[in-house]
Amino acid sequence: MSIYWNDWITWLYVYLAVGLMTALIFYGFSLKDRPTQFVKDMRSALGLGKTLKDHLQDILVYSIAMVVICVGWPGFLVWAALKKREDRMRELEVEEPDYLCKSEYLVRKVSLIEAEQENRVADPLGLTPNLPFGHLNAAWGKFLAEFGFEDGNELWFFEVPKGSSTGEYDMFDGPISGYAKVVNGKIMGEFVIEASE
Amino acid sequence: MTAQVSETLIYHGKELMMFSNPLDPYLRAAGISFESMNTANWRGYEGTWEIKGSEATSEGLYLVALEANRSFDEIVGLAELFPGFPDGVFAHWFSGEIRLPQGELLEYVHGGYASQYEYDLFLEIKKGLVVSKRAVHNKARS
Repeated sequence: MSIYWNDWITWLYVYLAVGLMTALIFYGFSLKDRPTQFVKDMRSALGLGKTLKDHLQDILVYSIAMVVICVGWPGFLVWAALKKREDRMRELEVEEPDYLCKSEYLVRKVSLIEAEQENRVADPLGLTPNLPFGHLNAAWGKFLAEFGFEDGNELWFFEVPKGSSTGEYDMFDGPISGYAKVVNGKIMGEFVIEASE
Repeated sequence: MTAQVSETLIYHGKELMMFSNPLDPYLRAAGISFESMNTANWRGYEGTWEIKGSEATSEGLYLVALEANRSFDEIVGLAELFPGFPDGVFAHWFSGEIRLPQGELLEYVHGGYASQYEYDLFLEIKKGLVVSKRAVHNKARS
């Protein structure tokens, strides 16, 4: 049997073959997301198991999806790549720590010495340890240990005005101040020295 | 949310309820958390505070006693959280208003510190120092 590469029918078969392979690969991936036998048993026990109608519906949906992918696989691949990128961005957003400090609250860049000099505690009874940040000195030490003084890491003083939106739960309503670790303009850590509740 | 058990503030020798949690910012900064033993105390601790110092010069907010649940069977006090400060810990990390309800209970609200009392004394605190005071006379909500 000889193949006629200058015949458009041959190219159509090649196109559809690639589409079929793409559809089968994605079908294989979709099998990974199927519920385990345990989940299926639990759903059955709760009266939420799949009926014959549900199975027929699944077969219909998968068949239509396979045909659509076989025919329009270049578009499908672009959609799949965009969706994967979007999912990854969403994951990164979730993983990102929820700092009270936002970039608009950064006031001024300070040196480590300036920060420590500015934060001697004025205790009326003189009971607080005479250390930078008083009782928070150990927490400050921990912040510095994680800070990493590589080039590009900056220490900024920040102030959040009373009533501003802070953090995921807006848990502090008073004025908040502290120091933030800023790398390439992005907040990568914070040390709160003064807050309400 | 269930009504929360209050903190206590000793002010001019009187023990008052305090509907504010000035220890929370310290715990957050220090990365410390406690276990809640019941729904009336989600924070997992009860602190006793005192305003110390002189009104003529400056007064400060001090934590003088603490009972906190580190776990379900371990209760810690001031000495464990702040070793070496038996006379009190100055709350220099706290800035904000503390609310001291007084008088008759006008309205019980089954949530947080939302119950209304006859009077509220508010102390404005800046980095642990008392900077101003104000009192509010409440009326029962109809």
